[in-house]
Amino acid sequence: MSNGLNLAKIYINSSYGLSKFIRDLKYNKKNAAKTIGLILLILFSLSGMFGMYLYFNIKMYDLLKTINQQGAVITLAVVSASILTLMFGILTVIANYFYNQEGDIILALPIKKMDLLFAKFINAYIIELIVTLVFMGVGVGVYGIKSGEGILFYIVSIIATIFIPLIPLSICYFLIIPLMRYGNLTKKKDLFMILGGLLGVLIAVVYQLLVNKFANTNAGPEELIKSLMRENGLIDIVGRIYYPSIWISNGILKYKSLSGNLYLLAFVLLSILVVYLLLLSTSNLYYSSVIGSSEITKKNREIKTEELDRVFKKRRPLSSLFSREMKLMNREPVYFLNGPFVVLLLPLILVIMFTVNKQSFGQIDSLINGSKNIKYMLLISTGLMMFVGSTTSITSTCISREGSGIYVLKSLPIRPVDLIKAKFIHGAFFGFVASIIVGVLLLYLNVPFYIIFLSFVIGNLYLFVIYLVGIILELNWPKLVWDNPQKPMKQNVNAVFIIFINFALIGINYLITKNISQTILILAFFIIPIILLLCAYIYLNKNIERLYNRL
Amino acid sequence: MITIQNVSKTYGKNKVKALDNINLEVRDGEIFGFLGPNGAGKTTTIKLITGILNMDEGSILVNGIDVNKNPIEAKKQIGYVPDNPEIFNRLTGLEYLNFIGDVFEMDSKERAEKIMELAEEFEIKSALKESISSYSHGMKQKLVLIGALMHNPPVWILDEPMVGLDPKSAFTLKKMMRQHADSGKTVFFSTHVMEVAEKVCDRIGIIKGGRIIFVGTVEELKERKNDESLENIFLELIENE
Ligand SMILES: Nc1ncnc2c1ncn2[C@@H]1O[C@H](COP(=O)(O)OP(=O)(O)OP(=O)(O)O)[C@@H](O)[C@H]1O
Ligand SMILES: [Mg+2]
Repeated sequence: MSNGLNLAKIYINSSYGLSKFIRDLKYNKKNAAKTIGLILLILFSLSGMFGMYLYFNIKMYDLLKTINQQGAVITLAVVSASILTLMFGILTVIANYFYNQEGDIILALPIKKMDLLFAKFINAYIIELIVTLVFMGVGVGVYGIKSGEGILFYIVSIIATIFIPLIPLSICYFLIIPLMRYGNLTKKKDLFMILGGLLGVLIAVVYQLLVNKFANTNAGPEELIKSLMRENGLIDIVGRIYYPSIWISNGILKYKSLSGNLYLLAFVLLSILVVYLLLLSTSNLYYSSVIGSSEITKKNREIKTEELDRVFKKRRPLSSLFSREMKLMNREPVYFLNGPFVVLLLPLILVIMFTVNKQSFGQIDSLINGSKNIKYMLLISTGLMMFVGSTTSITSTCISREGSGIYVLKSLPIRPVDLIKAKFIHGAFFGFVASIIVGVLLLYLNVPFYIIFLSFVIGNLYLFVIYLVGIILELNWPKLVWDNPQKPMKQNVNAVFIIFINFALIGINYLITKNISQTILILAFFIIPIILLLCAYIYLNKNIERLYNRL
Repeated sequence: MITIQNVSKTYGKNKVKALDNINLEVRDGEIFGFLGPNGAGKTTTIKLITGILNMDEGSILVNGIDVNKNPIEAKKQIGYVPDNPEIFNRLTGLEYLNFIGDVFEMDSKERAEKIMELAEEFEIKSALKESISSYSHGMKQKLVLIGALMHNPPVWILDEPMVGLDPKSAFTLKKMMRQHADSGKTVFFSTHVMEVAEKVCDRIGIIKGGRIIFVGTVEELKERKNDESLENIFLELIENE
């Protein structure tokens, strides 16, 4: 196993960047600060959810205390941690397959198959452990403090927590390894990335709905607690399907008694046994599912003489450049999901939320129609179009996405103006689609047609500005050196900056809407973007050759 | 013809010049081999000729057209094979070649003939409809070669073109280089291998540390190999194989 542990260390380092972070702390304070900032940001964005969960647990304890059932707090923690490790586990295991860091180098090393799987397992386990720690931490903390438990309680809880993810994660591997091996799914990486993206969105939507529901039910958390606790409620079902979860909660709750200790021991032994069984029975299968994972099936289609005319078709350089932009963007799942796909997705999410949650629908409805104020209707519908249109990041990542391919382009007799035009049209095309979709949505919300039409024109003018500014940012500060397409897309400052600029523009619109009377306002709505557009255009026109040559 | 005059290039804010005042003339009708150890400045020179990088000073003319002043026209003269064939992996070979054809404004018939002919010669015809990401290193190299040659450019600029090619394809390429030069046009290519240079080049240039230290035929180089300045480089390029 020592080889396996060594390998696990490398995996963990390369996936979580620990040693890089420590190096940064010493030598590159700026980078380290960035990392810490990012972590804080993530923690901050999760803090709302965490707070709610904590509040819920406290409420639950108090309520159940009256019927002497407060132990359910622990059971709930165990159940949630197990379910979530199972869910996240599936995602993690699949992701590990596709971001196979080992590449061929590790496969070529003399490492036993079992060690290989063991190292991967440990790597995935780390994430699951973090998830488990959060849920168990809250449950155990609330219960422990409220009932005034001693140190032994916490020690037992920690031991239980460490072992909780093992069985669910093993189940994930048991499910996915054969799937990958016999379904040949490693070759369908793109499909999986898109499905994964969809799943992520789905989880976000469901979460949003739950939060809304939780916030809106008059009865408050009591209802939820009752529905969790009742016969055939969540806890009951999970307890029956996944019996070890009962062992764990018994082990923790009855930590002072022998029977409790036996429960815990049984659980620990079972966990180890399951992991061992996993390694023993699927290592070979795992190995053969990893080998050859980068193969692509070839169809071996010859070009036939009779199709020559169709296959080799001349196009104008601009249209050829445009179609190249589209293909490169739409065929790379990371680009597609974070780009054009958003245009379809955001409105879809809005529709789902409106239809499922009538209340917020009513709010929006009264916001738009209730005021009967043309000014604000125009502001909101323009703002919506600008928002959806600017989230594609098509132009604000347009140079970075080329990576080293930009040098191939530079060696070709392509006029910089044509290249940039193609990139602009690419962005504007999806901006156009975005505003049409938003327009239809607004029509459905009974916004008058002439308002939609006006905001369509104004919104697209603003989007043109945003797209040009995105291109200008990219020409000046591209991120051309990267090893993985996530980087130019998701870790690109220009793209973030553009979203801020967009919000700033919407903010300015709000201010003028508030302070100017209706007639001048519509004029201002047209004139401001036109002036901005002219400025951006003049700048670009003047500097394009210089910036392009400098890349 | 390629004329390089007093060209210097420094990367970013580096102190050391990657190219230090180089002068070179590659004539019509010749194959010119550009040799030098790793990091000597071969790729840098080529990137300046092809307009990928900006030079600090000096000028480069390709068939009399100034690369700085008239980049588009200059690039139309050139067929370029980069040192690394990693290109647009998400496209198919065919899409890539069609794109090149559009950029050079070739009409469909001409491009169909030329592509099919070259693909036949390099034996990757059956792979053209596949995604470039499924190509082997050598296949990518061949695809890039076809892209560089299909538009009949008068000046070929090839950065280590033999690397990754199988012997048969390397032979084909050498034969094509010869034909091209014999028809009065220009071939400029870089290599580490003196033996290749000796076999195919009419003249060679040797660059080291950003300076050109020799230009002439291989015979002339051999005669002068006892010159102190050339002795080391000669050893580096020949004996370490
Ligand atoms: N992008 C870059 N940034 C900074 N310096 C660079 C860059 N590319 C090359 N250099 C430096 O310029 C010098 C010349 O490099 P160049 O790539 O031209 O060498 P080469 O002769 O092609 O070498 P090789 O035989 O390895 O291909 C080297 O010192 C190198 O470190
Ligand atoms: Mg080189």
